[in-house]
Amino acid sequence: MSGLYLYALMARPPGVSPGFGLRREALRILRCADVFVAAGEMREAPSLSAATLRGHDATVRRLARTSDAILPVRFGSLVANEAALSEALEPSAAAVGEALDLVRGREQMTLRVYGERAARTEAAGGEAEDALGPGAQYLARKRRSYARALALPEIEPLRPVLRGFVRAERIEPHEAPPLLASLYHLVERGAGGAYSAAVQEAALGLPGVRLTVSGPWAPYAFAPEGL
Amino acid sequence: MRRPRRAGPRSIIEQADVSLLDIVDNVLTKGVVITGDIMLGLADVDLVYLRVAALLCAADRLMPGGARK
Repeated sequence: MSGLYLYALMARPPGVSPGFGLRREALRILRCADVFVAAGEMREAPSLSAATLRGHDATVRRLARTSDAILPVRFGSLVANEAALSEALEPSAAAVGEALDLVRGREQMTLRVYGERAARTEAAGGEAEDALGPGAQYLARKRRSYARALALPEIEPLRPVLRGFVRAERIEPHEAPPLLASLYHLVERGAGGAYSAAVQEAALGLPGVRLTVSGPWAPYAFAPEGL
Repeated sequence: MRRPRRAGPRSIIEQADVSLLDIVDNVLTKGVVITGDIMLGLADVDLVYLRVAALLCAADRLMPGGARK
């Protein structure tokens, strides 16, 4: 029995034929819980390969060109049928609607930051933290460490430049030096080139830090997880 | 008919170029996750993700320039 392999959620159906998916299967646009879902029929989820990964992204990119508000679905998502899809989406309709509003007319740029982490003094936890047990103190230290990693003082001089482009941001700190963090920026569609040029120019003034920019991408990092 | 050998995460990472690593980062670790009657045909996704971060570092040392499409 065939299932439905999912590619993206959209606010409106595309005005043109959705075309074909990564296995050359004809795509369908299904309406579920006030959301339009691009899906293709498959017996099983595609196996993992460079070709299938590129095929999934290429399909999402093509759909993004036909829709001003799109949320890519993670690779490998197969549901049994439309009923199962509706059952999964309906409880999260509000969250999906908010996410679609956020990404409307926008695209993702990915900025990766390499360098040596800036030395900073560790802020003390305070009396409240001192009163915790050892396990809770450990978790509190980890939370502070994570918050510090998210702060990314290494790129603070870039912030005035980024403010002109970035409508939303997601940060992933890394424990893989010299990769410090990956930043996912939501920018207005068409602004990716100007964003990239501005970042590259501003990066010249960042000692000890190297940046790479890629994109534009469909807004993968701004899609809600775990619906 | 003989089934083609299924490519696993290790072979993809070893053969990945920088643009594929960006794609892997997006399509395997981000995007909407729809729970329920899901069948994910993947294994070792966490392993792939960790190795993506390591390989981005290695690629950065080798690749000139800073912008990739």
